[in-house]
Amino acid sequence: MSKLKGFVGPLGDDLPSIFPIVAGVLLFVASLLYANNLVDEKNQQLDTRKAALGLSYIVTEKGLIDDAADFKSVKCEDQLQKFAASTRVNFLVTVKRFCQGIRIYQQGSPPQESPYFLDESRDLQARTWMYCTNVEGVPRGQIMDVPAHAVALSYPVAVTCPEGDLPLRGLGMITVAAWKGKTA
Amino acid sequence: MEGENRMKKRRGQAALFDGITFLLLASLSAAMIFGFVGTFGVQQDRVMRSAYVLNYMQSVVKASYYVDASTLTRVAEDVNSGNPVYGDLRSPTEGCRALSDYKGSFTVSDLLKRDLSEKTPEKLDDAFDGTPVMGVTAMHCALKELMKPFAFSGFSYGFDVLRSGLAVQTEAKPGSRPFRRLVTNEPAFLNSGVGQTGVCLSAQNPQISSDVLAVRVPFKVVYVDGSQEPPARELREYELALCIWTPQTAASP
Repeated sequence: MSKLKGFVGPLGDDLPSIFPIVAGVLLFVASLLYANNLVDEKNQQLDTRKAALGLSYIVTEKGLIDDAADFKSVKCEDQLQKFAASTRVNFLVTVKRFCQGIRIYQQGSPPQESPYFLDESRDLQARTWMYCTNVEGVPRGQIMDVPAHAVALSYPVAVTCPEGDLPLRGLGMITVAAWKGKTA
Repeated sequence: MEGENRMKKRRGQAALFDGITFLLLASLSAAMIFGFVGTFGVQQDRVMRSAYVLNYMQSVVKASYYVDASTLTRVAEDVNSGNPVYGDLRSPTEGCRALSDYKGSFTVSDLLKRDLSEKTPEKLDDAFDGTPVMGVTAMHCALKELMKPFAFSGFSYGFDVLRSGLAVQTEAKPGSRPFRRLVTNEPAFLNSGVGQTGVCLSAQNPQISSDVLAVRVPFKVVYVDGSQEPPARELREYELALCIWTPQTAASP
């Protein structure tokens, strides 16, 4: 009996400590969950960036794009789309010709000059010459809704810039955009 | 009775102390978790961004193998207004406009090879044994255009042709600015030049920049010595070096 002197009960004894303990457990669990979410998000961003780099290594492999049919069948269908399927990313690659000099795209420029405008124009200046994507059901002649979190990379490339009978090669730009999940 | 109350009080204090200690430990653990999350992926991200810049620069050099020099005649003009830009390259006789003389299939690297294939010490002087060949100017015009996204973002860039680790020297025409043919947008180098180390190594000076990214690609040139009978051929092995850095004076973009 003397051993139980001052004993209030199994809970009663620790009653004052329950609140800080519960607060501590909640804080710790919440921190773990939040950190887990952040790490997942960051990993996804890194995966997307890695996939975008992989796509751009394929598309800039030679440094020259001079054949639209070859680009469509070999680069696009055989290489880019297969790589994107294996890394589970959505992507858009556009090739623009800048035979009269590279114009940096700014707000207020015509929509056709957007790096995400889908077209197969024969225009030699700032229009999309060819494109490749694995997103289905996107019609030509409009700007593709690329999500804000997409990774976008641009590269220079040599392209055909015919001048009269001369089959010259001039400057072009490739834009590679990659993202996970659905389009915007 | 009094002893019982004292005991209860002590037990209560001990339990409270345990609870607060636990809360403190949980808070410290949470702080450590946030510390880890804050730095997680930063290095990977940095490495991938560097990989992008290096791939961009490799693409620039690859493009120079294929781009016809005559397509670069409008580089020193504003694309929208047609007004001349880039004071160092807008001369109609020595600037980018003069590349229209090479209409046909002379690529930028063809002209650069021709500029280099002369008697030693070879020079980047827009000449091939006295005959005008605008090799270094063609490369300058190409880089002015292709490095635009980085130059507009505050980065500086430089280009060297190296042989056995030393930069092939540029030479300007008498009367023009002494270092006009140096291929860089770094004012410090354009005003005072660089030594035999070249632009890219000189940029690794703490006063210029602490962080220089560079690519080097092999570049072979055949030199034919026509003064001998039969003409002697020599295969010269050069390296093209393209580098980029954040100037110390500018804020990091």
